[in-house]
Amino acid sequence: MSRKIKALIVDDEQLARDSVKEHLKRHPKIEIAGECGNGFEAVKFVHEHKPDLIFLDIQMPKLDGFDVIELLSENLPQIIFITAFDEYALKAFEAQAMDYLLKPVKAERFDKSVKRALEKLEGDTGEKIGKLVDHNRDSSRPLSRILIRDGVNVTILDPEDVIYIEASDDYVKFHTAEKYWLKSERMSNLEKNLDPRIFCRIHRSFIININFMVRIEPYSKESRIVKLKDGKTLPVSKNGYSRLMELM
Amino acid sequence: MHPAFRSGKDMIVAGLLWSPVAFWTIFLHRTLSGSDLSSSAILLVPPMILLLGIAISVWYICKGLPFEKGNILYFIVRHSLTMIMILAVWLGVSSGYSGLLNENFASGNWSELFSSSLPLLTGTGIFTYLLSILIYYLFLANERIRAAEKEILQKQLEASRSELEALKTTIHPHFLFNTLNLISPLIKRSPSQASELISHLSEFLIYSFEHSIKTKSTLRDEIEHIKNYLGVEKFRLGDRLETEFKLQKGTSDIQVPPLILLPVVENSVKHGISQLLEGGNIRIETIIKEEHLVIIVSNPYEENAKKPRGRGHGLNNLKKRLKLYYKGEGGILTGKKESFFKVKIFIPLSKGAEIE
Repeated sequence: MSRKIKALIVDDEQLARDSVKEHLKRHPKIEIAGECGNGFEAVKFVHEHKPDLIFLDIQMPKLDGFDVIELLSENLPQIIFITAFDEYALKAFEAQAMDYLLKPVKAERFDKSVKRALEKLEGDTGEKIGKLVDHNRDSSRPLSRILIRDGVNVTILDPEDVIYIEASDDYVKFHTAEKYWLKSERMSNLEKNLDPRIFCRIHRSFIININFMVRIEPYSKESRIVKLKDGKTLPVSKNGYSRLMELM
Repeated sequence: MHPAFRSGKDMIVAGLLWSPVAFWTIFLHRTLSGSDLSSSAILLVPPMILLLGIAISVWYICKGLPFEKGNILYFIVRHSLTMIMILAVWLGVSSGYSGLLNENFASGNWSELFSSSLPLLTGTGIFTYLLSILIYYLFLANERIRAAEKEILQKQLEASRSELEALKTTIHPHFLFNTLNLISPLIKRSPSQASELISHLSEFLIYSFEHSIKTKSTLRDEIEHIKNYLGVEKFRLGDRLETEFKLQKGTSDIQVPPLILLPVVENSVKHGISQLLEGGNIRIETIIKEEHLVIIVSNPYEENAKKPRGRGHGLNNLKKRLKLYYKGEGGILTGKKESFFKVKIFIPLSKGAEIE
């Protein structure tokens, strides 16, 4: 391979980024395309500059390393995770047999991980790390925030502000009071992770936040509709109706 | 020590118990024998004083022969024999005394008078002996109960002490790991900064370890400790961490329980500053308000932060510690306002010097 590998270093601590740069001096094939101090910058950078390899710290403010992966779901570059000692993160890595570097990073381990990443880049075997994101999510607790990437910008939604969710091909639309947000996600997966005390799947294509519901009205002999606070109406399926009744 | 000699009050009580017995015996003797009061008194006062001595010394017998269930027969036999022996000696000595009276006072037959009062004296002797042992055994039982109560209180005290120990903040291993992670790149980049970091860390550790067994510190030392802690964190967080101290004059020398500031400031760093993209300012202020020293720690926080794991543990422990230390008069208050988190620590001033 003649061209240089473009690498991005993401860590909120300057000293940690310096440490990666120091290690990279031993790898002339890799050129440092940029450094980011937080997850937002990282998402933006990846979309604008398409690096081949990211050195990604897990512990960062607001958007951690796992969140960054979730937001970069398509066209993921090769990732080398770097983490401080954190039992939750380590568990997530080990459960997926993922490669990661533990701080402080030893030269030997660093070189090994880089070598492996370069081989994968040459062989172009896209590794699936989407699962890691799911695993990291604490399944015992409902989703406390929804991460949405809109081009290069990242928005964090509070589930309580979502009025209803609509399925739209491979995407879902999160409708809030101001606007709707698109995200690539499956309805069934979302349904599972939302707080079951306030969210109800009333239809194959709709999940509503019951705090925004006004009433249920009969529509035809077999079907019903719900009326929302903003005046909008949504269809309720037979199963959806029984789920709604159960919840209330 | 003997219960009658523990205080002046006890002696008065013993005297009050003895006098009616003595007077009653003398009066009874006069009535029964038909002699005059002064003769009865001359004959019986010395034996009655001797009897008081006996009543007092019975205490040691009672102490050596505890009243226990399942051993009642032995108990009765022992006391009966002891009583017979003591009373026999007492009557013998009293009889000798009456003989002396006979020789020295011509008027009246003292020995005969004494012989006629033998049944009365025997009865008084038995009564006194039984009354004494009854009082002593009640006293011993009471003492045992009090000792048991004292033991329970002692145990409770020890329990709360060890709870206090356990509640003291321990150094989080994550903090040590993170700091070591900083040192290694810093050594290459700037050895002088690395040594500065190490000196902050070592002073931080020395204070933490020393005060994990001590129960007293001053606000000045606590602030110094926090400055070392923040000095370390400053290397990690860089420009994102700013600090501000505003200490009211005269508060530095106030005595406080050690390691009360660390859990609060750790909280500010962990859940506040390090969750903010741009970081922020940790402000530590001390004021004296009415009867309390109030330490206020405030920091901005990120409302959209990922829910951190294990939140509030350190603050809850601190709350319990202060409650134990000051028996409810000290404590902490927490509050959130406009994306600022504030913790107020209340230290009662009057109790400051009383902490053990």
